Amino acid sequence: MNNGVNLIALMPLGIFILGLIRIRNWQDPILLVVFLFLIAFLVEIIGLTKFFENEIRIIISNLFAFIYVILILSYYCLTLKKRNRLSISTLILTGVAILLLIVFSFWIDQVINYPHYAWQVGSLIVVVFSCCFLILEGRDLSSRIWMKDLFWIALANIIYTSGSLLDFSVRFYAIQLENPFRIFKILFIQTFIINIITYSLILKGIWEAGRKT
Amino acid sequence: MGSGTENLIISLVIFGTITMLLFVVALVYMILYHRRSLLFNQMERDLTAQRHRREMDRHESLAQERERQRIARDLHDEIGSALVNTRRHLMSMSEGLSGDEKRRLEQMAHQMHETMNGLHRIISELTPPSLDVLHLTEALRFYAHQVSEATGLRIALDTDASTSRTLASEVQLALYRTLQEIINNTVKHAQCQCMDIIWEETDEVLTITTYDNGVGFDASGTHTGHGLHNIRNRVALCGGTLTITSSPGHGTQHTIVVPSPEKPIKTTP
Repeated sequence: MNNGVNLIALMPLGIFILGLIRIRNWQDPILLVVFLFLIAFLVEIIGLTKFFENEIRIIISNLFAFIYVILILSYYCLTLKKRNRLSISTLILTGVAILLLIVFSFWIDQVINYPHYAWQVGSLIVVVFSCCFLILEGRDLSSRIWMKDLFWIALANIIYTSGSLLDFSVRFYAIQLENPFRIFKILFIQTFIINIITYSLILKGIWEAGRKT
Repeated sequence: MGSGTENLIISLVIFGTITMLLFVVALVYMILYHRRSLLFNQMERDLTAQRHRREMDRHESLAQERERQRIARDLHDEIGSALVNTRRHLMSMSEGLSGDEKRRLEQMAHQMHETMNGLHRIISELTPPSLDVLHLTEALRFYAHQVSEATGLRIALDTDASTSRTLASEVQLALYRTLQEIINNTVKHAQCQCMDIIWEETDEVLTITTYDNGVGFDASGTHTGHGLHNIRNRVALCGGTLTITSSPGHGTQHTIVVPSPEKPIKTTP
């Protein structure tokens, strides 16, 4: 299982490097996603180091949820703005969602608590916004949907955040069991599959964004 | 909490993951389905707009044709007859005179005759010969002959006379006007001595190609005149395409491809 953990931890770094190689235009919004993977890699490394030192830092996970939601929503908005399709109402809704997340992260959740309400709320926001932006993107007939990076990135986010919603909900109950090893094993396999699908879709999105530049 | 709860949670994870993946597949399918119907609607709108534009062009073309005929008629009936009467009057006046005055009047009558010839040429350009009576190729041959006589440009029309087809009168008129415009452009701009028009018919298409050995022009340039725009419109009205190949110093080639009518007329021996 350790090999699997190492592989999952290293994947974001691989995506970050591939993204830097592929994207030549430094003003492309996809770079927000690429840099998100650098942050994800650092969070994984810090998390794993602390885990092997028998220390769990909830604050890192909660802060990452915060950064993740902001970067992904900014990527969606900037991509639509680039094509002159960003409406004021979408922008206001995005701002409200980020405010909601801030309230959960810093006041209700108080950053260091478990279960991670910040993750749950953040995941829910990303799922809803990804679905909406995916539908919006589907209505744009200017080019093939397979050639749009937002399509692949939104799909990846829906799968990743739905998976983590399920993961965290189950984990909350699992830690109350006497011997939750089997559940954690299943959760690990589920996370592994979800991550592989997510990373493949993200890579496809970065590839398509690179084709434009 | 025991093994039962554990199994329930494991089942929940597996079921939840499969449901989530199915949801994503359904979402993608829904988006693609919606896109397809949007694309279909857009295509229908584009087709309607295209049909509408073509219909407008057709009306404009017919209106132009009617206006040309009206101008030709007015020129013929009013100015033409006035010129004839004036010339006749001059001739009769000159009969009673002698010497220098007679010579001057005869000179005026001769100039009047030249003006009438010019007027007839303008009238025949404005109104094509009846395409119901003459085959389009014969009408073109007649026009080419007139231009050759007036300008000295040698125009060779190469057609396959054994094949005869029913082209709609509107298409015939549009093709006649198109070729008339091309010939006029060649006379005005090409500075050439000869021009070839090749007429080829197959079961599917009618191809008309014109070549001249003139000065040519940059066909890739964005600036195109009103005449060229008219030519393209007329060819589009016939459901055909026009390709222009030219470069400075290398002459010009126009290729008009028009779909052949569905039912060709069988020529009787």
